[in-house]
Amino acid sequence: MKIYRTWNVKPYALVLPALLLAVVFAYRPFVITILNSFHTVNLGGVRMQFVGVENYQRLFGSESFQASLSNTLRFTLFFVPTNITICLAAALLSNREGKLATLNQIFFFLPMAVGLSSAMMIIKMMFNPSIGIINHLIGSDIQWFNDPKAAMALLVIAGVYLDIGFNFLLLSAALRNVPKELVEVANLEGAGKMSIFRYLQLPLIAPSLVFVLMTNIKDAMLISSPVLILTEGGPFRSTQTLVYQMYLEGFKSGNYAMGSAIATVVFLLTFTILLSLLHLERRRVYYQ
Amino acid sequence: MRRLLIIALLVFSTVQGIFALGATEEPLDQVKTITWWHSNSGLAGKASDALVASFNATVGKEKGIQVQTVYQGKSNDVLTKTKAILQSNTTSDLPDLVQLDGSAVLDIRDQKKLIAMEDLAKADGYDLANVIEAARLSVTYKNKMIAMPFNSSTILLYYNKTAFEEAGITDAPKTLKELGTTAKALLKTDEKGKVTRFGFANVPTTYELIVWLGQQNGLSYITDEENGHTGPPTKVLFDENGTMVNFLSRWKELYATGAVENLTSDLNGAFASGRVAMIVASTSNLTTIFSMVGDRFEVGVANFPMVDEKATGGVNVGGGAIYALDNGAGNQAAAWEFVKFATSAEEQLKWHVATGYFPVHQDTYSLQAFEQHLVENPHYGVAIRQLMASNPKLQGIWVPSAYQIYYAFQSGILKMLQENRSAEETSKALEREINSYFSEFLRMQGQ
Repeated sequence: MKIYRTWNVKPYALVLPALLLAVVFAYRPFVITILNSFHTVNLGGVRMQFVGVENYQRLFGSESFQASLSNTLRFTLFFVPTNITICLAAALLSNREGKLATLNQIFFFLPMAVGLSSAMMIIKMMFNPSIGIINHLIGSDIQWFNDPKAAMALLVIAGVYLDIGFNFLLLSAALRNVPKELVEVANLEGAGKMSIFRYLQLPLIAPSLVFVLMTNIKDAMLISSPVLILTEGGPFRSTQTLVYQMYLEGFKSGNYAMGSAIATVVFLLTFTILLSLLHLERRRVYYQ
Repeated sequence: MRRLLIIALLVFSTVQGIFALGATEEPLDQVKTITWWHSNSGLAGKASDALVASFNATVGKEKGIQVQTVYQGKSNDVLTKTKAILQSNTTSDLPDLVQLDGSAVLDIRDQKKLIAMEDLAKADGYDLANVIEAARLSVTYKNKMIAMPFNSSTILLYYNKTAFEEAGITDAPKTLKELGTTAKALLKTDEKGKVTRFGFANVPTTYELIVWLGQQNGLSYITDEENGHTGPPTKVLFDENGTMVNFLSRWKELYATGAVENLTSDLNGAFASGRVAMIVASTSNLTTIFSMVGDRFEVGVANFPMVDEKATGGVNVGGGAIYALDNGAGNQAAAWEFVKFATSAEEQLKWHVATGYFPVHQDTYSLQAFEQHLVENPHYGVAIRQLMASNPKLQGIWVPSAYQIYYAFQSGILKMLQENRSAEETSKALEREINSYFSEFLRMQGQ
């Protein structure tokens, strides 16, 4: 009888600390956020009155939200392919033996060692239109912070910089796991680099690639910190993303209900995209 | 015997508190420590440290008050930290004094822990008329001065004097129309027709519009409730009183000269590099701009251009103020002593010389040393004469969703210029969007 009881309690006791953290920092705020989005909430954070979907109606009717939605989707559309191409190219190029390759790998991995805020401050200075080094080097006078298109491009550059370290690590490891014998055989059979990549490496790293793709989409949908430091949503709201608007509404304007409504929309949107991708993955990707 | 010893030891250990009083000298016990959270860095940081040191060594020493400064980052960070404590109800952590800028008013003005500066002044028999009217009204909510203006500034026109001389221009523009003519004369292009120097750069948003809308017809309010100074605003007035349409029409004409760049950030840099010949910026940028430009060219400053000849309201006072908070320590009177000292005529002169923020005490202006200072630094004189000639009732707006409204103005005006919308249409669209933020705020407060 005694043994039976310890068997029962032990796993729960072990999972308790993690569960407690999850409840306090994830599940409870999640429920409160959804609750808030259906109420009016005053400056002190107290729920006042149930209003149904009125917050959502107002949100979708506002020009500011429409801009955020379109900016976020546009950013995702630009960022994800750019980032994956660059990271994959970096991983392929440095996937060889030798000291120089190791050096390359370190360089690609290095951005992970620099804190986000400091990195963004440095990028902000480098891209300063009048005294920054970038415009000086390429001999242009691109108004990185005044031209909506340039500002969006800058945000994509910053996003790639932030993600390259981790993605490179994952793809690089996946490429190394491709059995060498297979590559050698393919070489002997006279397959070119392109065909080796297309028919051998790509299918074998597909699971990692899908993981990178998913985290990329999540990162893109939730982007806010670079916006906060680099552009503050400007110029003319052209880089105001959903999560940045959530920050503005919830923390700057003290409108918790609207902030919660935006958070819920972002969650549902990201969730749907990832779910449909997962569905696709089940049909197209094979695990070894 | 042993038992007696143990009892004596026990008594000693439990009641040692009563002997503690004898351990320290009495006067030290009565020294009150005041904490002051501020956002002054660089030159202003040095000046505020000097101010506190001087207080602690003189009045503070005499009255047993010591002020401790805590630099809490940018003005916005100070507000975030203060708000966090106010919401958590651990009010004993609140500073006695906190320096905040205009955007903080909405969050702080209805707090129970805020002690209106006017009450502290009155308890001391201090005459509020000592504070110059425009600055006093800039922190007046529902007819009460809730804070003490401290780092006050106004908006100013900065121009490239060397470029002016090259182009043969002698006078700085006084109206938007003149600004257009001047800007056009300053415009420079290369062989390919690419602009190498713009005459003027700006996309008007809250900071500029407070003045350009407010100064029309002597004085115009942008929102009801006197720009939010008597309560939360419920609607904007700029469409019905026509000030927005008037301004936008003038702005369209100005933009049509082709000499204006739609610049929204790093205007100081663009001006200092010579790519833009005129900008408008706060007087608190004076020192920064002068040091950025160095000896590349000569910088001139002039009154902020008026919308038209009928816009006689002048400019408003911006910047920050010191708020007193109740943290339960009963330090109010001591905190007031410091505020009184910091905004006294002599200290305001030192503060002004060191930072460029203009003095808020009436008597500073008649000090011999101040007049001398203006002779040596004529630029400061321009800003001060401009303010003195302004209608003190012209005040900044206290509105909810200030960030959203800032971008609403900015992108609304850009849309008008790029998609060639009419001034009337733009004014109506702005009215609609900003009113929705007001109604949203009132709805959330259950009103």
